[in-house]
Amino acid sequence: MPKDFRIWLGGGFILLLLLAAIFAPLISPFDPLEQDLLSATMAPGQDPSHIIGTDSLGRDVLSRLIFACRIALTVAFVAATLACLAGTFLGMLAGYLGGWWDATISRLIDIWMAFPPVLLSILLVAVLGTGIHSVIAAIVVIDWTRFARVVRAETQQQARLEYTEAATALGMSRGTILFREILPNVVPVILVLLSLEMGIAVIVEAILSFVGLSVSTDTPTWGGMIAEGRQIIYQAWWVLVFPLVTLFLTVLAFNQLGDGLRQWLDPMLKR
Amino acid sequence: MSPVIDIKHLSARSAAGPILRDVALSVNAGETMALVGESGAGKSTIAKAVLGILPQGITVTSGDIVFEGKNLLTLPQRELRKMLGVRIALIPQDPLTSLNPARRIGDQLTDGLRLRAGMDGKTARTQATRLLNDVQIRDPERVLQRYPHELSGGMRQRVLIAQAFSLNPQVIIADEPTTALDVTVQKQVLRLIRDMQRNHKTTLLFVTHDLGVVAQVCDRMTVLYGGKVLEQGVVAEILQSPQHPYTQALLAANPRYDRPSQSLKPVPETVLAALKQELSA
Repeated sequence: MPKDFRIWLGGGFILLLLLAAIFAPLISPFDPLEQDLLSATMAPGQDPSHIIGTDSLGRDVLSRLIFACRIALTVAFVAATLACLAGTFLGMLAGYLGGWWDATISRLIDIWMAFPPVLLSILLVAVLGTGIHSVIAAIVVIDWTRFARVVRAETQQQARLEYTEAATALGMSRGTILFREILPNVVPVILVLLSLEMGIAVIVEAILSFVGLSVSTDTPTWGGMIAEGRQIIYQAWWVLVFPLVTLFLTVLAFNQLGDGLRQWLDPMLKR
Repeated sequence: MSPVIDIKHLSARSAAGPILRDVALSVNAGETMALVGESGAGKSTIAKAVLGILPQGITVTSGDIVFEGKNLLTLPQRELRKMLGVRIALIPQDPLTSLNPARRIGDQLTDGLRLRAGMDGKTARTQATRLLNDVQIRDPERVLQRYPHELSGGMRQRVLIAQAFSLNPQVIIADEPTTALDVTVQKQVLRLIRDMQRNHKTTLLFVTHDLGVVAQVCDRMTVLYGGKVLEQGVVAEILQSPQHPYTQALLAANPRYDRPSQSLKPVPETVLAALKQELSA
């Protein structure tokens, strides 16, 4: 059982968001798309039914916030997992096989990382067209290098340890050694990276929806809400602040979870 | 008696210079051959060359290692891998790092049985329990569930011994199997290796720098220095009347527990100088 409160706090917050996303239609007080121009830009508490107010079209901010969890978390989990799978696979190949494989994959990573990520993602989505699939594809295509780089280094280190040699002397094939012997030792690093990557994916999705390149504009997203709130910040600060704070807390939760996992899973610190 | 492993004219070098110089060594069926020498003498290199796991940077420049009629040095990787574990196995040097820290003992022990001997999961499990029993581990079922860090050094080395014998290989190479253990455990582990070897009729190539160990478990011995074989023969005879001056000095350097007042005797400079000349010749 991890004692680190960051794991519980970060993980707890993410679990809360996850539940909110799954049960969004049940728990949100209003339809997130329902407009009511008569009750536009109502401040929090002005109408008890709109707990944190309404936006310029009279839509309930809390309901939109809850529904926006769906896009954010879908992107976070799917994109980060796919980037993780691709990056881990290539990183392990490079780290274990070395030689020509390592040279090719490492150069590919170097070239990839030379592109500015945000610009590259905007470019990718512009080319692929908007939509959640494009956002996920953009994140995977850009961020697999984060996994590949670290997993490669970790695999290299593990491959030099004596248990790998012992497995070789037992006549195990290279594939067996890589996936049965080395992979379990690399998993802790992967889990930490995965958690951090989910936070990054949330930010990237927010950036893309902020500039209108994510899902269609009538689906509520945190980035989209921030963009809308920015225009009426002097009349209705709450439209901007609540999605901003939620975004901030979500990314913080993923990062804290990642840091907590790092401490908890690190075998050097455990002993 | 025909040798099981026949090493002829084996030379190897690294960027820094020669590691093995024209080593000849043959091990007969069922016997225990000791490879003795100080650090850097090339004893582990010989062991690793037999197993085909030489570290990068060390290359074999000439020679043959013949096992079951095949030259292991020219055997394709795939063919060699088929023999490893099944025909030739290794007892590694460091029990602390030679078990995978992230996997349970049971999974590591059954891997070889399932993947190499084709047993199904349940049979492999039963066999693993029996193997742990053979190496005198109490409560084997519980130990199978454990991770390496939950076991003591002696226990881990027993697990590695069980693993080496698990596929009943003809030859086992023990690479300083007791160096990392403390003295009381050393004795038990040595006796265990010896008993296991007799029961399985295994041929043992025993790498060590400890002459006491050699006297206890080995039949014949090969003394190495700087990658060169200095002396080879029956253990009792060499310990009794060593021929080479280096072997004599090595034996004299062994601390005598019955005479603690005597100061330690390093190998004399004159012997080392003579050796250097011999090597460069």
